[in-house]
Amino acid sequence: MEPTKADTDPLSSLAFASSLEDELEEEVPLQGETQHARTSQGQAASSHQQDDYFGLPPHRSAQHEEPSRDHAVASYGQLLSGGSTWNSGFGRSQVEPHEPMGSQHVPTGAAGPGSPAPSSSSRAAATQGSLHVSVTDPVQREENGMLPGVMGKYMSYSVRTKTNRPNFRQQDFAVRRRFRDFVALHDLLKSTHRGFFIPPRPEKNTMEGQRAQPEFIELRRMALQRYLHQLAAHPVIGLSEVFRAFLEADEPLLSSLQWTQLTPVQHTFMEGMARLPRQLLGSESAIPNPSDAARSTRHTGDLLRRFKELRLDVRQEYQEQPALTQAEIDLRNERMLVEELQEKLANASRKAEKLVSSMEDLGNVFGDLGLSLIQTGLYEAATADQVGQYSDTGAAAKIIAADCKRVGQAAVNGRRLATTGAQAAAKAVPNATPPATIQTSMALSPLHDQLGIVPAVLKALKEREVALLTVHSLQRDMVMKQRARQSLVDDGQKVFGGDKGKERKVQGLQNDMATLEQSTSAAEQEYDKVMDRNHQELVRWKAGRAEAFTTMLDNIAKVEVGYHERMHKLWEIAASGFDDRRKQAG
Amino acid sequence: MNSNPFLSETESSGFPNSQGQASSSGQHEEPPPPYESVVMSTAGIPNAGRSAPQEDAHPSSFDIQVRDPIKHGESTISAYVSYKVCTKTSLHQYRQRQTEVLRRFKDFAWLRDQLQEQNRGIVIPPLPEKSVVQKYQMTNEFIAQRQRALTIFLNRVAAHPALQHSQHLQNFLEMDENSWSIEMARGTQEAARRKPGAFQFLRDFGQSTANMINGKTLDEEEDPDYLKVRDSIVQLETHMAEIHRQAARLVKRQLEHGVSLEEFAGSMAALGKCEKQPPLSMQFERLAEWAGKLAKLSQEQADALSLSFEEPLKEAVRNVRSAKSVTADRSNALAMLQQAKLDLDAKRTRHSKLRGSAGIREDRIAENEREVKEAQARQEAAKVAYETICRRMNEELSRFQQQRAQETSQLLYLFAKSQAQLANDNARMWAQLLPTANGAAQ
Repeated sequence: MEPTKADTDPLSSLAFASSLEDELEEEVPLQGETQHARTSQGQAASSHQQDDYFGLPPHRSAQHEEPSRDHAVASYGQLLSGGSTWNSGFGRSQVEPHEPMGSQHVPTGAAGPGSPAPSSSSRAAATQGSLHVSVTDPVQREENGMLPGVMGKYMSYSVRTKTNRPNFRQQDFAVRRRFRDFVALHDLLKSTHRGFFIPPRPEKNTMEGQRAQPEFIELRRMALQRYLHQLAAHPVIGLSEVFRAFLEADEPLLSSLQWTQLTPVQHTFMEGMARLPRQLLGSESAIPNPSDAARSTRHTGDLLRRFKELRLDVRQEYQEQPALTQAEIDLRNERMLVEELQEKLANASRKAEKLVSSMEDLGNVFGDLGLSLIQTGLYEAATADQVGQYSDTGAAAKIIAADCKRVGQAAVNGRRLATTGAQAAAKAVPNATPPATIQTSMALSPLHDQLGIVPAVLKALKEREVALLTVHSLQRDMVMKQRARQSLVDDGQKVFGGDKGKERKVQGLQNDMATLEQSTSAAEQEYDKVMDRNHQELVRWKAGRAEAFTTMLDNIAKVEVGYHERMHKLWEIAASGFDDRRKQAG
Repeated sequence: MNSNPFLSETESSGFPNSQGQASSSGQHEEPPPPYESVVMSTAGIPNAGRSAPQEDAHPSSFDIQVRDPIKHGESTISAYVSYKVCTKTSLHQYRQRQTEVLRRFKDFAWLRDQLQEQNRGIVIPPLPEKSVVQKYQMTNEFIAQRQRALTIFLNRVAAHPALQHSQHLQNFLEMDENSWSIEMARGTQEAARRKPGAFQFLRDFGQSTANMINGKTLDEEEDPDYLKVRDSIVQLETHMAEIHRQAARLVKRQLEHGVSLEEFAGSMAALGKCEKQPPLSMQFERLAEWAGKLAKLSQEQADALSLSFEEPLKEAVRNVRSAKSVTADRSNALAMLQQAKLDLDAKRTRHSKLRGSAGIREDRIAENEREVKEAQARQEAAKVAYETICRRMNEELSRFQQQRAQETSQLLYLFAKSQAQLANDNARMWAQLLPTANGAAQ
């Protein structure tokens, strides 16, 4: 894979609703030296790996766990309410949040999906201190590309961290990261935090030409910042060693020691291909070792295991299901509910966008109508000055001119209340109320946000099923081995005095079974752990969602009341202009 | 105009927002009159304000309603719609106080042609457009719109000081269907007889030909102030058409906004069913319920706008167009006068030539003299026609402008009022969803 892969992906970030990623994207783009370095260190790192599943690295002592995520949560809350919508449809609202909706600070600790749920509050209490992350200063850099002499270009961002958590080396520091590093962070989190709802990463995207455009760079910067805020706000991920390493490690990230130590062995597909014949011929063990068994098949490069699990997965479709626990059945039902919710959210999100765009259309028409009235007013006024002896004509034209101008002005002002139009109004006066369409889309942004999280939820739930599949596959292997051993033993009893070869085989099978036993139990533990995380995250998500939606419903009403009250005033004033003239005339 | 049934319902159903109620009752003190009354009230008092005194003696003595459109004929080509024209009048020349006749669009058009023919220089109230496409579709909406426009047309004619005593109008309003069709046939024949070939030619090609040949000289003979008024009217049409176009877009957008609100309401209701926790699902339900009402409000506003803003604006455009055609008539008349003068000069030159040259037969000279006399008569007639138009227009333009100012003013005033009302209704309805209101409702 070429080094710039991460930055050259097709334009798709704006369609975040379809953020279900391709499986193939999950391979971290590695090349040449970097990869060698990592594979050699990976073995050592894999023990860290295990512990980090808890989100608490082994060397982290109790005092290290003091920092709290309050600050991070608060900033996430601001983000939610401030409505920096990093996604599609709301293109015009891509301005830095400037507190448009008044009292909209979401209470700390209850701000949407990133906020802690009651179940994790004990952990929250154990961690104190703040963590604030910002992404700034995008700079274009060059590096040697695939072809000799051709320089590849990429954007480098400054990731600045301010924290008083004691486990950080410094309190205020910045590192430079590129998009590829964010991809690596996400992929590592996915393999180390199975079962958690990992906030969705900004899409790789865009065509070559678009990447250099300032709007795109700003959009991506905001998306990356938002992503880091979401990670920081997560009660487990925000405290994880992986996240800390991403913020702290030396540049370049992918070859820094702090980072590579955390990175498990990344078996590539090609390595798996190389292993496969040996596995089939029996010269290499086809039995997954316990540490592999506790990992997602995708990350082990064990193709034989992948095939087995795939076969089992397919077979389970039409054959007898292994008995599922009630907890598992509940979670599978929960997944169906989440899928239903996803459908409704997607619809609501679309309708919300349509609503905002129809508000915008309506506002723009008022602007056009107002302009045509004002123009006619000017025209009538000009006529009034010219017609000489036709004084009645002139007098009438003056009246019409005044009325057209008054109503036209009101319509144009109404449009300014509704939309940015030529995006002039909002920027010129920083303290002015943003147009109603922008406020509305901000108020409705939880719909999009929640929809954006659903794929992560489904993925996390799927991870549990994958883990269970590993357990079932290993259990099935075990049964097969037991049968094989039994038949060998039975055969052996028929031959008096035994058969050396058979005894060796039985011995081999027993060794395999011992390994299998360990692997199965590791896989079972992993499954339980993932399920536990699923439960915990579902509770947290539900609470966060309720909070976000309640806020949304309040905000939308507030925004609309404010907007229409201003409109009412504006038109009342316009109408009273007529009254004044009528009084004068009468 | 804004007779939203559910609005009064919300008021009477005692919602906790007393403030909103108070302000709304303030709003309802002055219900905006319907579109017909907007246009017709001013048409009914044609010279409100400063106006020529002799016309004050003729307030409108008519109340005319066009109603009950009935479709006739099966095939699309021959199908037509008849309307019942009901008239109440106090004019003595009418045999009855109240009449009721059946007329179709064609009859209206004929009436207007006759009025125009006999009242050059007067801005004849406009008829709704003949729309070939829409005619064949004959949607109820189209018919209703046309019915309203025809009502306005008749009332405007009946209110016009120069037109209300027209025999054609009386015939149109009084005659039973048979007599009317005979009258129409007779009138058409007469008109055909009245128009000699040359004039027909000029009429048909009208101003454009005349202006092309000697446009400059034409304008040079006109009063420069009049020319300014004329030019202003010509350009005014473009301006008014633009306003109307935007108004039509506004109606469409308002309607679409209603639709998207409705869909939004639906999606919120569905989401509420997914979010089963009791307070949240109830809040979603409330939002869906009110968004649905807002959608209805938006759609009703679109209808109201269409009736009280867009259609009158269209009427205003047509009115300006009528005025424009009067200025064209005047130019035509002037062109004909000039043409007649040239013709007369040519004939006279030829006549003197004939006289001067020897050996010309007497009968040819006599013939020539006759031609000169005819040309002179035509020139006289053309002069009278032109001067009549000028004289009429001097009054008519001022009447036209005053009426236009009053109507435009009223239209814009009602528009501003209805926008204020709509915004207020919206604000009040959204206020029902505010957390405080929510708490009170629960």
